[in-house]
Parts: sequence; structure tokens; C-alpha cells
Amino acid sequence: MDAPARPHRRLIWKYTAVVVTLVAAATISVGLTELYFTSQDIKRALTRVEKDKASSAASSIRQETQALIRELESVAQPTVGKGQAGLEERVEDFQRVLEREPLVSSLTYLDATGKEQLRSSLLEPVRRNSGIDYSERPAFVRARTDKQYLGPVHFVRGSQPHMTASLSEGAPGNGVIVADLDLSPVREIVERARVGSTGYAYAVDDRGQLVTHPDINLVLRHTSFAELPQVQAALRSNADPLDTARVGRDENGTKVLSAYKTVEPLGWRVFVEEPLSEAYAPLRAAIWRTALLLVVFLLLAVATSVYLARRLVRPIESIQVAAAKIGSGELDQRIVVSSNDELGALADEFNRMAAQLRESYAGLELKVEERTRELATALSELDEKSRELEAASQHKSDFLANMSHELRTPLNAIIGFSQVLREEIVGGVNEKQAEYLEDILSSANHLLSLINDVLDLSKVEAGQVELEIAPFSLREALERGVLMVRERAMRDGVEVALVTNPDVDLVVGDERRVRQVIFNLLSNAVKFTPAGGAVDVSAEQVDGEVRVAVTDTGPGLAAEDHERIFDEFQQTKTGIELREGTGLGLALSKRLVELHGGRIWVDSELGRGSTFVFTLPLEARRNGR
Amino acid sequence: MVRRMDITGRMRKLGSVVAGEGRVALALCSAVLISLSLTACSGSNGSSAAEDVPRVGLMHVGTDHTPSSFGSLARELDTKYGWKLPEAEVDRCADTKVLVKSCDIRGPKVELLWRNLDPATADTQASVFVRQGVDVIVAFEDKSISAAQKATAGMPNPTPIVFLHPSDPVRQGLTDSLSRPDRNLTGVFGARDVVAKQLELYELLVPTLHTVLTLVDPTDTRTASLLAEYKAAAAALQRPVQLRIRQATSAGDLRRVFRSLKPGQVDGAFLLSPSLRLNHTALTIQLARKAGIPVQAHRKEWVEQGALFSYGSDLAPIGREGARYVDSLLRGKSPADLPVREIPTVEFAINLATANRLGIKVPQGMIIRADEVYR
Repeated sequence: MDAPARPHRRLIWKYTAVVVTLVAAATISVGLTELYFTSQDIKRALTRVEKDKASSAASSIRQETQALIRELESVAQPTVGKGQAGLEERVEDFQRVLEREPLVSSLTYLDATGKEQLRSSLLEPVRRNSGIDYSERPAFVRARTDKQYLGPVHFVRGSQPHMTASLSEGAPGNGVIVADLDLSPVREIVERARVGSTGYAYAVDDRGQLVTHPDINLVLRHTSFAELPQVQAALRSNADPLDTARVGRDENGTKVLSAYKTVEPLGWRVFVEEPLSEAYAPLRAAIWRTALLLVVFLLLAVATSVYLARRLVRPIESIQVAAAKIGSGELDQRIVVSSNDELGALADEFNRMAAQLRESYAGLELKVEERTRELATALSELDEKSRELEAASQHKSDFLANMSHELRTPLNAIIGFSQVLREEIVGGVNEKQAEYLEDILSSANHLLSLINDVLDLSKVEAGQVELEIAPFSLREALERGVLMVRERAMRDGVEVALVTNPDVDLVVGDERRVRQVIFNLLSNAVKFTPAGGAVDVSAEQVDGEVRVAVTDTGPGLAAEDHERIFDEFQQTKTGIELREGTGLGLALSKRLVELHGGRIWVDSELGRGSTFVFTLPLEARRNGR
Repeated sequence: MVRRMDITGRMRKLGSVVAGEGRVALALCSAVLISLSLTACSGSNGSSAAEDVPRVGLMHVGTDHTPSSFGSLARELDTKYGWKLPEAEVDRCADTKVLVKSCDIRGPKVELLWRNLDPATADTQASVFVRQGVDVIVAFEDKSISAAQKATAGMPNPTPIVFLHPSDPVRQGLTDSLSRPDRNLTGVFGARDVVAKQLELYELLVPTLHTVLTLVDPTDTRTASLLAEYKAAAAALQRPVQLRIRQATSAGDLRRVFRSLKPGQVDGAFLLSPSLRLNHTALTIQLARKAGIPVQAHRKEWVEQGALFSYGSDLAPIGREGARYVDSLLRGKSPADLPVREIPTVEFAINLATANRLGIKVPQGMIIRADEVYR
């Protein structure tokens, strides 16, 4: 039987897939590598820009602070005039600073004891000699101890960020100049540091409190950025990182690329940030470029691989088609491949092979034809012989049947007349004559039995035996069989016993033939069992059939005789020695049992008796043939 | 809609007719305007022609001027926040030299309804804005802020109000916290009434200033506190001045006060009460000019028109910042998200022509100190 055809995929697509995979893998790996380095470059460049911008803003704030301090130093000088004149001189100085410095919203002069001598502001009239005590305030205390003081960011009237700066005047006055600074203008400085279209810059003080931010609402709401990771890290760090930016988060949780610079001496940090989505916008462009290149390369790869694969596959397909035709018997097929490469060589080899196959096939056909002819002749002869054998067998059976019939007719006369003589119906016979008559009768009966067996056997072989199937009592058949041999058994000192299972009674079969088998087995058993022995007959139902066993305590059978004794004219050594039996009983029994669809066998060992068993199906065959 | 346009056009005409002194006529016109607007609104169920274009109602109580913050707000909305307003209309409506009582600036994205009001009509106009369902009300100065606050009080979803240059947002009860507004109002305020500083500058500018005619409106709730501050400042001056305090509420009162002045009785006039400054500065300048005395002002626009000097909030940046609030509110933010901002920038302007005309020799240091000098 042929194996089922496997599904085939087209080679062209395999080649295409391989080439495309290779090209895609190469392009993607090159693209990814390129993207990685591009992203690193972008990050470095952005970091540099952000850092520069932050540094620039921090530097501007520092310069503003220094300029402011210089301005404060310019007014923290002893006045030329003394007393009220000196105070008025200072009023003018303060007014000059207020006009020049947009950060300064008011200036206060404290004397050496921390009492307010003068206050000048943009919104209120000049206040002279108020004597308000500042001596406990940090602006005074720190300026006296540290010469200069820059206070924390605070919110005036809860809104605008302000800061206090103070400067010690030094000897001989030892006064302190206190400036209130409105930090709003710082916003413009920090705003200039923004990068990109969505980038932004902001400043926090040394506690993370927002000083300025593009979203003024955050500043006005006094927002603290101390919780933002980048601000936390910056506040923890003592030194600014060199050229590294970190990924932080804005107040909404959006990831940003962040760089910062510390503003000395204020301790503020200026942060320049840009959302990652925008920071990496050039990277997105690079990704698109790479994707586009990938698509282009893939398309080229597909086109090229399809073209090459077609060129490669077409000769193979020609070979495949030709091979298929050759396979279907068209041996005169030739493969035409014009290429002079391995495929061309393969095609040539294939053509040569096809030619050789064609020649071999032609020779083979002749040989097959010849052998077929010879086989037909042999079969014809065999048929003839078979017919002859069949006829011979038929002749033999006919002969046996005829001969048996012919032999039985005179034998019946012999038996009948011998019985008449023995019964002294026609006159008395002496003892000697009676003895001879008994011998004649015995021999004649033996001969009749032999002839009957031969006749039955020949009928069976000739297929002339028709079973008369009908239900009958097996138990009765067994009892009658036992009854028939009991006389001889008693005579020979052999005990015969019948044991039947209650569930064994009616069976379906030819009663006469079954009785024949039972009698045959029982008579054999009694015949070969020495005096004092026993013959047990049993019947039982096993596996849907009836099993009848006849067990004796006779001499037993050698193992090699177990099969042989069921053949015609075969006897055991004991049988031959005892001159008992004809060698046909068991063969006939076997045929009859098998005609019923049953089996017969013997279990025996030499010296241990024998058990002959036959079975009958519960539903016997209707047709014994 | 057609009716509304007709009304608007008519009112523009009226607005151009009434200028300067037509006090009674002005009040009458305003009343007509309001009533006509109300009729128009009730006729159209308060709906606008362009339903999908947000509208901003802007109101200011001032019978003789248009604050410069209106123009800067409108221009900032247009240029910085992209609300696209017709430039010519903005220039026409926000002209600080010509009093425009009512003017609608219609842009493709937003409509600004500008109303410059008589004090008596402020409450009515605020109610009209509310009934019209404007998206935001911008109220300039205390009187209109108070009217807008009153009109929106008790509304389930009160119209957001942006206040610009109020005297003191916390003290006026506009919000309890500047950083976290807790009502439907937020906005920008500038320097508070710097009357003490003005008096100081007055003294420095006019070396011959000995007696100052101080004009106060007894009906203005802010008068008492300002007067106390003013008197304290006068007492603390290096060169004390005498204060001749006179009460006035209306234009007639002012005329009467000036008529009663004897030559040389006072060396300068000072408008103290906000109600007088907002409604009668132009008249006072005219009266002072006739009387041959200088007068101070709170906005540089008045200096340009003849006041000797001004020292007060610079309104332009306040207007620009106000545009940010309007933009945020139009984009759906809540007033609570927009902290109140202070822009304490002040401007100092001097009119040397006025000084020369009055024979005042302004010290050189003061000229240098001024942000703006009109010659």
C-alpha cells in the first residue's frame, strides 16, 4: 500500500522567506544599533543643551544677585552728612537703588542696635526714624555676623515670591541695609533657558519651594517641588553633576529629561526640562527612517528573492513534472533544462536514468510475459492434476462405498446364518461347532464394524454425510452409551461411571452421530482399561459449549501419539498389541465432531490413563458439510 | 440678532455723542442702553447669534475714561492666546482717548462685549451679562467687580469673574486666599491706592505746595480709611502741608467746590476718593486748569490730558495678565485653579507743559525719576 502523499509547500516561498528573513534580520539589527547610538547622541546633545541653558540661567541669576549686592554695598557706606542730613542723603541713595533695581521693592536702614532709621519703598512714603526693632530678626543678626544675608523665599501677602537680603554697613556706623526683593523679574531670566517648543525652565530654592515656573499658577499656589525625584536628587547632592541629565517627572507625572545647575550663593537650583516625548522626537524621526528603509529593503528583498527563486525553481519544477510523467509510465519523457550548472547536470542524469529505466522496463516486460506464460501452463497442468486427483479420490470413495456395500451383503448373510445355526433353529450343533460359530459370528461382526467405519469415513470424505440436526438429550445419549459398554465392562472388571452436570441436557445435533462418537470413545476406554480399572464419563457446559470427557485408567498415550491417533488407520502400540480396534474409530469420531462444529482431543500420559474430550456447540451447525 | 446689532450701532452713536461733561445725558443713555439690551435679550431668550462662540462680558464703571488694561487684555487675547480678534475693532473700542460706552468685538473664536458704565447701571449690566449667559465676566475696578459679584451670587454654577485692579481683593471679600480662590472670582490686582506716596511726590514736585485742596466723596466707603492714611502721610512729610478737605460726590459738587476757591487759597488739588478718581478726573483737570492750580492723578493717561503728575498702577501689564485668566477660564479651568496675582508695578508720569503753564519748577531729580514725561 502506498504511503499517503505529504502536503508540499512551494520551494519558491521557502527561498523567499529565507532571503527576506536574512535581509530583515540584517536591516533590523543595523537599524536598532543605529537607533541606540542615535538615542545616546541625542541624549548627550540634549543634556549638553539643557545643562548649558541651566548654567546660563544660573549664571544670570548669580550676576543679578552680585549686581544687587554691589548696589547694596554702594549704599552701605557711611554718609557724608551727619544726623538728619545723612539720613536725607541716604534717602536719595535708596531712591536711586529703587529706580535702578527692578528686584528691590523696599530698602530699610537699621542702626547698630537694629532699630529702623529709614525705610524707602516704591509704594509707601519714606519713613524716617520709626525706631522699629529689627534686632531679633535674621536679616539683622545674620548680616552682623556674616556680613551678608540672603534669606529664604517667602510670599508677601500670600501671593508673590519675595526674598530678604541684608548687608552690614561695617564701622563706624555698623548699620545694616535690608532689602525686600520681589522675585517676579527672575522669571524672565529663567524663562529664557527653556529648550524646544515644550521644554521649560524653573527654579526652586534650597528647600524645593518653587521660585519661578512658566505656569505662574504653580508659583502663586506656593507649590513645592521637593517631592519630584530630580529635585530631591539635586537637593541631596552637594555638587552639580557634570554632563549627565536624568529622567525625572513633572508635576503631572510626565517623564522629562532634566538637567539643573545650582545658583550660588542663593542655593537655588535652576532646572531645564523637556518632556521625553519631545526630547526624543528626533529619535522618532530616526525610527521612522529606519522603518521606511526596512520596508524598502524588504520589498527589494522580496522582489529579488522571488526573481532568483523563480530562476532556481523553474528547472526543478521541469524535473518534477517530468519525474511525475515518468512515474505515471511515460518513460519517453525528456527533461529540457538549458542551464549548464548542477541543475543541468541533474536533468541530464535524470534523462539518462529515464532511458535506462525505459530499456530495463522493456526487458522486464518480456520476462514477465514469459514467466506469466510459464505460470499459466503450470497452473493448467496443476488444474489437470487436481481434477485427476479429485476423480481418483472420487473413484476411491465410490470404490470403498461399493465395496463396503458388496462386502456387507454377504457378511450379513454370514452373520444371519451363523446366528440361525447358533440358535439351533435348524438343528443342534455340538460344542465344537458352537465354539466355531461364535468365532465366525465374532469375526463377522468385527468385519462388519470395520466395513461400516470404512463406509462412514468414505462418506464423510466424499461429503455425502448429511447431519440430521434436532434437539436431543445428551444425558440420555450418554446413559445409553454407558449401557451399551457396561456388559463388557463388567465382564472385564472395569467400573464405568457417568457424571453429568444438571445444566447439561438438551443439545442440538445429529443424535445418532453423537451416540456413535460416545460409543466409540467408551468402547475404546473399556477396551484398553485393564481389570480393576475405571472409566468415568462426564459432561458439563463450558464457555457456551458442551464438553464431554471420557476418562480411563488405561495405559495412557505417548505425547507423539496425541495427534496421530485421530488419523485414519493409526493405532497405538498397545492397540496393535491387543489387536483391538480398526484404527478408524477415532478418525471417524473426529470428522463427526468437526461436522458439528466441535473439537476433539486427548489429554494423556503413558501409564497415567487417558481423557478423551469432545465438545459440541450449544447451537449446532445446521449443515454438517 | 438684527435688533441687537441695531441697538449696538445706535449706542455707539450715543457713545460718541456723549463725551466729557454730558453727565445727565450719559446716565440717560446708559439707562436706555441697558433697557434696550434687556429687551433684546428677553426677545431672543438670551441667545447669541453665534451660539458656539464663547462670549466675554467686560464691564467698567467710569464715566470719563477707558482703562488701558482693557486694550492690553484684548490684544493679549488676540496675539498671545490665539483668540483672534479684529485689530481695528480692538483699537476702536479700547481707545483710551475717546470714551466708548459700549462696543462688541466679534472674533471668529470669541466675542468681547465691552460696557463702560455709569455707577448706577453697573448692577443692571452685570445681571444682563448673567442673563445673556456670557462665559466669563471681566470686571474692572471696585464698583463693577462688586456688581458682578452681586449678580452671580446664588447662581448654582456662577459665571466666573476675572477682576482687574481692585483696591484689595481680600479686604473686599473677593476671596479669602490669594493663592487659592474660593469663590467664582479671581484676577489681578496692582498697587493699592498709593495716596500717601502720591502726596509725598506732590510735595517734592511742587516746591511751593503748602495747602492742598483734598477732594473726598463721603458716599465712597473707601474714603475714611484713605483719608486717615493721607492725613498721616501729610503729617510725616519733611515739609508739612495743610490739607483743605472738601466733600464732593457729583460733578456739580466739584464745580461748586472749585467756584468757591479764592485765588491763592490752595496750591494744588488732590482727588482722594476712588469714586471721584474714576468718574470725575477729567472734569477735575478742567476745573483745576481754570483755577490755575495743579492736580494729581492715578493714571498716566490723565497726565497726558493735563494733570501735573500721576503715580499709580501700570494697568497695561495687569490687562495682559488678565488675558491669561480669561483664556484659562474659556478653556474650562475653574477660578479655584487660578491664584490671584499681584502686579505691583507703578508708573510715575509728569506733564512738564502743565508745570510750565502753572509756573512750577520741577526739580531735575524728579524728572529723572519719572517713567514718562510729557512736555
